Amino acid sequence: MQSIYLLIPLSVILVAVALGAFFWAVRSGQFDDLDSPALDILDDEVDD
Amino acid sequence: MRPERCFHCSEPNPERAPMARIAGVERYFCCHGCLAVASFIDSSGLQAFYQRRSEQSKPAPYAATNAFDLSAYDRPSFQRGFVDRRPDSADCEARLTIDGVNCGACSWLIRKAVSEIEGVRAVEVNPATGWAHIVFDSGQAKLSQIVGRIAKLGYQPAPASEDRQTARWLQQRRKALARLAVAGFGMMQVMTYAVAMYAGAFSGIDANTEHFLRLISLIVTTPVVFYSAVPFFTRAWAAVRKRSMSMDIPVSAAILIAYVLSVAHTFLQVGDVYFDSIVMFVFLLSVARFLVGGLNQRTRTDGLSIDSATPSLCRRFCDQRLVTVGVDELEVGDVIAVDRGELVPADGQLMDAHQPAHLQQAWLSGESRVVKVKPGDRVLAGSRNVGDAVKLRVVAIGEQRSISQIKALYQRALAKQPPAIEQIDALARWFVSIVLGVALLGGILWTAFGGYAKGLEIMVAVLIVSCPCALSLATPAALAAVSGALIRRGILLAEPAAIENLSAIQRLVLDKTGSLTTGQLAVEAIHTPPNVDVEWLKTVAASLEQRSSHPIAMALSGLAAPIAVTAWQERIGGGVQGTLAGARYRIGQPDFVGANDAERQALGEVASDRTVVWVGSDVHGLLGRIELADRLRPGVPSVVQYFSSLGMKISILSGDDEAIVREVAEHCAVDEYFSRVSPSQKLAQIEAWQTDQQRVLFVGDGINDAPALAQAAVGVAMGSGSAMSRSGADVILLNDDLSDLVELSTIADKGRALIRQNLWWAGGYNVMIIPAALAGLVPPWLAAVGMSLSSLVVVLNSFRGRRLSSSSRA
Repeated sequence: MQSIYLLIPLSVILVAVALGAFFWAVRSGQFDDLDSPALDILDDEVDD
Repeated sequence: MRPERCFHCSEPNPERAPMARIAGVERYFCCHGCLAVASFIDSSGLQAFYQRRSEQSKPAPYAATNAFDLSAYDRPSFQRGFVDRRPDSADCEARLTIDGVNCGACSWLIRKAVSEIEGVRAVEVNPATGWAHIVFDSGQAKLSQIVGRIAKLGYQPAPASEDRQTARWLQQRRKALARLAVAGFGMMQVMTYAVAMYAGAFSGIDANTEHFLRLISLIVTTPVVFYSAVPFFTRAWAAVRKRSMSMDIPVSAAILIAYVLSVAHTFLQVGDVYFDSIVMFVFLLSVARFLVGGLNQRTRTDGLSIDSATPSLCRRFCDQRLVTVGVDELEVGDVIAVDRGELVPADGQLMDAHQPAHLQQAWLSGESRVVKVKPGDRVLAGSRNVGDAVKLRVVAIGEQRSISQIKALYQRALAKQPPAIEQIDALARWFVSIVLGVALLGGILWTAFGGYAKGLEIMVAVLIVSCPCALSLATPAALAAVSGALIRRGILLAEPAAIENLSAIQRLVLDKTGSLTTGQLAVEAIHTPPNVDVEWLKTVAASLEQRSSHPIAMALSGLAAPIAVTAWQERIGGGVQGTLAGARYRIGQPDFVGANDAERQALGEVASDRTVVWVGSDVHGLLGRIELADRLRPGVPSVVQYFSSLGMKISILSGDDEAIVREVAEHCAVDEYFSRVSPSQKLAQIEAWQTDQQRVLFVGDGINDAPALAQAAVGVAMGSGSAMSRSGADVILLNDDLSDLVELSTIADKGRALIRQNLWWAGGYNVMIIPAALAGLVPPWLAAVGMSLSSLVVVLNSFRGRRLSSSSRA
């Protein structure tokens, strides 16, 4: 049972990192437009 | 059978609709503007746009787009406000607002077309705000190229002005998203720990482990409480300071009490902890608030719209030469030139012209007619020059222009509080007070009998359980569903509260030009003397009017397939002449055409509300008379009848002349009509009615209707209307079909029924569960679960609303 003393705090740190990434994404405006990306996947063209 | 609606914009097609092959199929259009746009889209390989768009495109501007020299866009002084240069490179980032972007497909189209320009590095177009960001290498690509391409696609780009409203909304949304993320992650973690602790409660758990789990739960819950839940606390505090009640008060109380209690128990290593209840509570409430918050903002953009009514570029005289400058650079006293077909950029005085100028001031009076302006008279910004080029001395710029004053009127109307849903507010406040009282009472009683821990637990349980989360979701969830049902019918609900407001309307007020009528002249009748071929008359008319930008020309040029015309000349105030098939023909005023009184009498009387043009030739004499009128939209009388049967009074408010308005009023059988009404008079009349307890449903479309639309209890704008009227309206009829008003009314009825059902369920649940919580039957975790389950029921019930139609049962 000792493992949870390590693993749980570790998971909390991972969550904090994930949150940090999320904050970065929000701040750089990636969540501002939720409509257009839905159509982009329909593109058949082979882009760069 | 030829399609009746334009392939591009769905406006009705004229008799001889222009045709082009798009993606190999014959398609018909309402005008050459739309045809040009569709051809460009097709030739650029972007036909997929037509498959993907979810909303109709706007009609393309009639006159050849961009008579202006867009090179001004490349001038640094013009670029200053909206283009940033990246340091250490030739890259620039331009911010534009684009009018006409309705859905994701428009954004896709623009992005695809612009990114094909050499040197463009990135394009982003947000359909919700209409903003575009374009990063390009200024060495390879020019901004004028980019802007030109966007315009060719049929949209109207403009430099992004300082629109603080949208920027602020975007900021708030980002913050809300961040808080939501913290609450979400926190919830997932703490629930996991809670599972372990519950398992421990059943089958035994090591004391150290339990203490550790509690500590970790505390650590993860803390940011949720002190970051994600902060909006609840601020709102609750604001309500307390105002000595009023708000649903945020019990919510905040529950969160704080539970948190403090749980922290205490964690460090004292006694009793129970409620971290799982807290985070679940905060997360679910935040999600509800976020979803509801996104609902309103989509079309409520404030300052932008006026920019589309006036151009951003104009031509100024600099020592006898014409230079293209930005409209912002104009000063009072400048002399500018406005060509045929262009919009006037600033209020001005008509300078020495040998002939009077002819302008169309549809935005001011709603009239489609052309107004003659004499030298020395004032010309208003936003008018369209339909005659020869004119010179103006600028008299008013910026905020001083008449059009800006309309905007001010409209913003003032917007700032006023709309008729609130007062009943529900009062009910909510009463409910909250009761809940707080009951919780406190329960807490005290239980403390007396079972100790402070039990007392607090019961109090928290009661507060959570009575949290009107389901209640607060009841209305928004139903409204969201109704919005979805409406948009599928081409009715855009910009202000959800309109659904409620639609229930108490006593008076339906309609604008005439553009709302009841199509706003464009259409051919009503053609009279010819005997032995004249009507088809030939139509061909002559259509051919001669191809090159004119007069409103009459728009109606006539689609009459027949045009043939070649030489020696074409337009005389303002007279008409158009040209040579075709070997003879000279004229169309226009009777004197210009050379029709004498006898010939005119022979063709009979003309109704006073019609616009008449005569056609004749030197060789063949009088060919005939064409009557035009602003046609009533189809289905209008039945719409009027429907609302009459609901007991409403119907009125028409129009800026047009008495005779014309009377004709329409009688045809539709309305109760009363007002003619020659100015924008401020419209606003005043609606205000007067509303103060008199007569709630008004106003239908309009022009810029001059914008203040009235904002003021009325419910404002409905036609889809083809000006951007400003659209942003002040509560509802927008995208199909441009007045009979959608009936759809709106019936669906709104069903929507209100849905709201009632939700409210009954949510209220009923709260009322039943509170006694149970008081009796100690509901531990906090169960309270939180129960609260989310009841919210779920409300949301699921609202899903039924998505399939609402005027024919289905509620």
